[in-house]
Order: sequence, then C-alpha cells, then structure tokens
Amino acid sequence: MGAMLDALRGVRWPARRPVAAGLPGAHRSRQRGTSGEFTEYRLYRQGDDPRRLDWKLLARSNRAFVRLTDDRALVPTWIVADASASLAFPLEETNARPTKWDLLRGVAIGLAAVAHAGADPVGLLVASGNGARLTPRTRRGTVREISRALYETHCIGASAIAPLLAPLSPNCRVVVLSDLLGDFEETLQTVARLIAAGAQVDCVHIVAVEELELPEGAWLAVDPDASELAPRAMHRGARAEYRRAFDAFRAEAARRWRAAGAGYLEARTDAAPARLVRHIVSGAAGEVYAEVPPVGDRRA
Amino acid sequence: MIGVGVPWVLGAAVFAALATCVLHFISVRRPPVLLLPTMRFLPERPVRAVSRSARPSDLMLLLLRVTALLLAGAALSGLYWRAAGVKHGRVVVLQRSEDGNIDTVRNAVARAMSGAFANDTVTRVVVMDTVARVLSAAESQTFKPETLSTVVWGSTAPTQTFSAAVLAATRAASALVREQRNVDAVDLVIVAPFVRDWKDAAVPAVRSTWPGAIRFYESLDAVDSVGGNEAARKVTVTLAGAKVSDAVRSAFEARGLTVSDPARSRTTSDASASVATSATASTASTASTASTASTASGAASPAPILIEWPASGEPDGWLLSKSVVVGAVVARGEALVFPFTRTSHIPDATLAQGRPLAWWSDGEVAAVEIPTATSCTRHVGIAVPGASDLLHGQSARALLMALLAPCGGEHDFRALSADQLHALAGTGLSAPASAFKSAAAVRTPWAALLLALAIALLIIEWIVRDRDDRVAAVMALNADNRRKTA
Repeated sequence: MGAMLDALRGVRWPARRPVAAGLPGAHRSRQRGTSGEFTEYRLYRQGDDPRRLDWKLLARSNRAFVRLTDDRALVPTWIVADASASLAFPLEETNARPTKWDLLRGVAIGLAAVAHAGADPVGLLVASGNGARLTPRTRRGTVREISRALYETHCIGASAIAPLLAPLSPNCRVVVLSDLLGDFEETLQTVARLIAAGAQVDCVHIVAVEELELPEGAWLAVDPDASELAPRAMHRGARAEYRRAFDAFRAEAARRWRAAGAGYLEARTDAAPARLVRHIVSGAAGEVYAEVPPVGDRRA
Repeated sequence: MIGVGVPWVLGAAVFAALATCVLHFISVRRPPVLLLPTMRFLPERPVRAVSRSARPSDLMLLLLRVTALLLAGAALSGLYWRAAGVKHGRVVVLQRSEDGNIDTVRNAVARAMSGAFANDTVTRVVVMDTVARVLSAAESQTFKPETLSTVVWGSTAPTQTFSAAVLAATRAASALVREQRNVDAVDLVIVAPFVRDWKDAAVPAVRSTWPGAIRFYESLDAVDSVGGNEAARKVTVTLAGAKVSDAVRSAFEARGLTVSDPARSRTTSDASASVATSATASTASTASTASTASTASGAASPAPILIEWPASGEPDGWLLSKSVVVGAVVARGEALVFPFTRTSHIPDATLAQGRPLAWWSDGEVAAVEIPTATSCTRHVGIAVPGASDLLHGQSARALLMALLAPCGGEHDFRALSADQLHALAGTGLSAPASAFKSAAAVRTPWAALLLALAIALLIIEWIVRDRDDRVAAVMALNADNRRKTA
C-alpha cells in the first residue's frame, strides 16, 4: 500500500466543473466574488454592484467595466465502497491477482490519499459489510482511518448503495466503487438526482478477470449475493452465452452511467490500483474515463 | 468344464456389466460448486451435468454392481459343470412308406444308423407308425433295422408327413439333451418316402423350428419311386350288396372290375382310383405288380374297399323316405344330371361317422364313406335304372372316381424333386443342443446359490450407496455453511 501511495504523491484531483461556494480550497468555485484573484472584465450591467467598477479603466476608456474574480472552494469527497459478498471473488487468489475487494480497497485508499493531499475532506461509506461510515475530514490520519476501516470490512450480504447516496449533499464529489451487481437501478436513479443537483459522481466498475474468463469444465454456479437463488450449471455451451450476456451488461452499465452524467471506469482485477487512480483523477471535466488496459499492455 | 444352458442370458449380463462400467466413466452428477457473482448471466439449465472422467467413479459401487450382474446372469443362464468329452447327438426318424419295399426301408434305415452308436455319438430312434414313438436310450441301442416289420412296422397306412417327423424329432432331441448334458449338437436323420403328400402345408413353419440341417434317406426303392406311382396308389375294390344294378355292374366292368355274383361280395381285381377312365387291360398287370410287391415285402395285402350300391338306392341302415325326384347328383364338383328317384336318406348318426362322397342337388348326401378297422365301406343311395347307360357317360366319371378313390381320399404319391428335398434339408451345421434346452432344464443347483449371492451383493450396494449419499449430503451442507460464513 505504501508503494501505491508513493506513486500517487503529487497527484492532484481537480473537480471536473466549478464547485459550489464553500470553504476556501483548491477547486474553482461557481461563485464570482471579491477575492484578490482577478479573472476578467465584464461590461457593467444594470444591477451590478457599483463598488466593483474599475474606476481607473472607466477614466481611461470612458467605458464602465466590472472586475470579476474567482473563488476557490473545497469539495467534500465521499468514497462509497460496495462490500457485498460478491466483491469477495475469487475466494482464493488466482494467478496472483487480487480479489475484487482487494482492488476496490486499493483504489479507494488511493483516491482518499489524493483527495486528502488536495486538502479536500474525505469520507467513507461502506455498503453492506460492517456498514462503516466516516464523515469527510481533512485532518491528519484521515487516510489511515479510511484504510483501517476498509481493512476491517468483510464482504458479506447483498449490496445496497442507493440508501447511502440518497441523504448526501449535492455539494460533494462521490466515487462509487462497486461491481454493480446489487441495486443497480436504484443506485443509478439516486446518482442521477445527485448529479442534477450539482454533485460530481464517478463510478468505478470492479470486474474480476475470472468473471470474464470462466474456469473450464462443468461446475455449478452459486450467487454469493443471493444464495436463495437456484444454482445454475456451467457447461460448454453456456460459456459463449454467458460472455455475451455479461458483455452486454457491462456495455449497458457504461452507457447508462455516462448518460446520467457520471464518470465510468471499468477496473479489472489485473490492473494496478495506482494506475486506476491516476485515470480517475485525471479525467477532464465532462469527459468519461476509458477502460483501463491491463498492466502488461504497454501500448496503453 | 463349464457349460452354459442359455448363452444369450449370460451375454446380456456381460453386456449390462460393461454398460455399467461405461456409465461409471460417463456419469450424470451434480458438478462442483463455484461461487460466481455473475451467475445471473448464465443461461438457466438443469443443475445436473454430464461429466466424463478418465477414471471410473465409485469403484466400490462399480465392483459390487458388476459382480452382482455377472452372478445373476450366470445363475439365470444355467451355468453348469460339464464332464469332459463332448458328444454328438443324433435323432433318427423312421417313417413307413405306403406299400414300400421293406428291404429298401431296412437298407435306408441301416444307412441312417451308420455310426449312430460310436463312442462320441448318442442316438435316439423315433419310429412313426400310427403314432410317433420315441425309443428310449436302451431301446435305441438295441434297435435293429431287421426288426422293423415285426416290432414297429404296422400294416395300416397312417399319414406320415415331414411336419410330424420334425415335431417328433424335436421332442426326441429335447429328451436326448436333457438326459445327456454333454451333447453339444444334434443331427436329424429322416427315413421316409419322399412323395408329395409327405410335404404338407405346415412345412415352412415347422422347418424353421429345427435349427440345423437335416439328412434324408428315402425308404422307397428306385422302382417304386420312379415307376411305382401307379403301384403306390392301388386300391382293392369290392362291389357288394344285393341286387346290384346292371348299369352299375357294367360301369364297373367297363373299368376293369368283374362282378360275377352280385348276391355275394366278391373281390375283384384292382383298379386305378385316380385314372379310372384309363384303367382297362393294363389294370390287371399293375394290380399284379402291386400284389407282387406286397408279397415280396411280407406286408399284408391291402384290405378291399367295399362298395354297397343296391339297385333300389336303399343301402342297409339307411332310412326310407317319401319318393322324390331329384335332378342331379354332384361329386367332385361335377354334376350328373338325371331324374333320379330318391327313396331313402342316410341317418345322421351314420353320417357323423363317415365322409360324404356325393350329394343330391338339394344338398342331401347321396353317398358316404364309413371307415372300418383296416379299410372303408362306401354306401351309395343312388338308384340307377338297370337298362340305363348313365354311368358310362363322361358326366359320371367324377362320381365313379370318387367311389374308386383310396380310403380317406386321394393321395399324391409323386416323388419330390431333388431341389425340393435340398430346400428341406437346408444348409449349415447340426442343431446346437442349447436350442432344445428349456429354462427349467437349464436350472442347475448353482442357480439358487448364485442368485442369493447376487441379491446379497445388491443389498450391500444399496447400503454403500446410501452411506455415500449421506456423506455427500453432509459435505454439501458443510460447503453451504462455509459459503454463508464467508
């Protein structure tokens, strides 16, 4: 983990668009105020505060201009981690690849560290599992607290992200880390409302390589999130059918999250968490993230 | 040496055991469980899947099942110990011939019995006269062809057919195989007169019941079989009864019969039954040949057929009735048209014993044949006017042929062709002894023991399978608990 944090040192995570007014911080605010950082002139319009007139310019040009200045504000960042039972996959590490939860934990800590380094308050919401909740803070040790909370979390139960997102203030940045196999529709609706209210939401879709390349042979599949469901048999003919359905689901998820205005990134378990974090934080405002290629792919 | 009574049962058991082995390699079972979060994207299929493995599963169960199947198959197939020294069985069927030369018969029998009692051959003799008699092992051993005429050769002329011979041979073969367990195959040898009457309608069905080739020895000598058809169908006719009509007497005399004194029953010369119209002077010579043959063979002369044909048309025992005029008499499908006067009819009790030969045009019986101990008597209730030449015409030919036919009807004594005999003989080897063993016959003392062992193994298999199921259920429960805990 320390190596990852070292790799992320100096990385900044700017907001994709101006944030609402708040405590002074590193992100450009939507509020145009009286701060000392001049931005531009604008012609005086009726109703403008006359105190903001640039009298010297008026004297020189005989035209009335208003001085505009930008405010800088903080953005509270929520890391929402899905700790449902499906994240604990695969049960035994395969080919030295981490489980989905391991990847999620690494990305979450990396994002928290980057946000904390930008002086933004960082909080944690854990869906399912032990239901940990850490309100956004800027004090020292916040990242450590988040890390400890994540390491103490056990993946269990079904995913319920939407109830955690619903009460959040829209003046924040939310990163949802999930495999999207839980309350997908409810989460998406809540996210759409948050985005409409001004929040910045990113989704990191955690996908295990073992989910893409199913093991050979005949076996019986059991859903860890819903053990009450009847198991289904895996055989030779079902492999292609499964892959088609899963690919369609991933494509549909990407399309709908992006359509809602959120950033979307599919993170496979063979990707390095630091690299994923860099992709997430470097996303330009209004753009969406591309799929992160595997670590070994040098062309990316 | 181990013998098998019903090999196909053992074969079926072996096949079932092999199939069981294959099923243990290709088993339909519940595959291993894997936790897959994306299970919802799998198509819904039955949870059982066919899995193949390089090694058979459940070796203990496989061993128990295969052993039980083989034991049951061995028990039901009649496994038995067979003494060393396999023997060959032979069934010799002797059928007498009509007027056959007994020397020819003896020679044929001697050829058929050649080598019948060698060390490696077990023979049963079946003598078919009026009944089929299967000689016992001791009787067959002591049977000599020279004793044919005195021991079993009767003077009657029973119906001898190929079907009767095969059926009797099958019975004898079953007895032979039952008594001699070390017999592995059975030969069938038939000594018979191969005339067309010998081959009846049941031949195709009956021939298929004998699962091997058949050897034939003809019991008619060359003269009989070639030119002896005439002799083979000779009958002796006696025209009897009081007041024989002149018309009847002249009609018989015209066919070679001489009736010197109608008041007495007199034996006359023979006449050809089937070719009565051509029986003129040659009749006497053929009759002489037949008589010579009978004498030479030592058999009794054929008993005469008695024809009672009174001029009044009222044979003895018939009931008088009101005189009616009937327009025709029908025999052998041909009608003799004449205004006959019918004054009597045959009693029902007499008719029930006999065989109608001619009918009035209204359906009443006009002539009947009553069998006797050695021959038959024919009663004719047709009144023919004395001065009439009615019976000399062509239209009376069918009626006279019916009256002059041998007792019981016509027989076809023409010889069978070589092709027909070859078809009956068939090709291939002797019949396997297993074909004559019934399920009861193959039951051995081992059967009960083997069956008991098989049942015991099946019970053990059930216990082992039940235990394995319990273990699997506990393991599945533990795995489920572990999954829930995780």
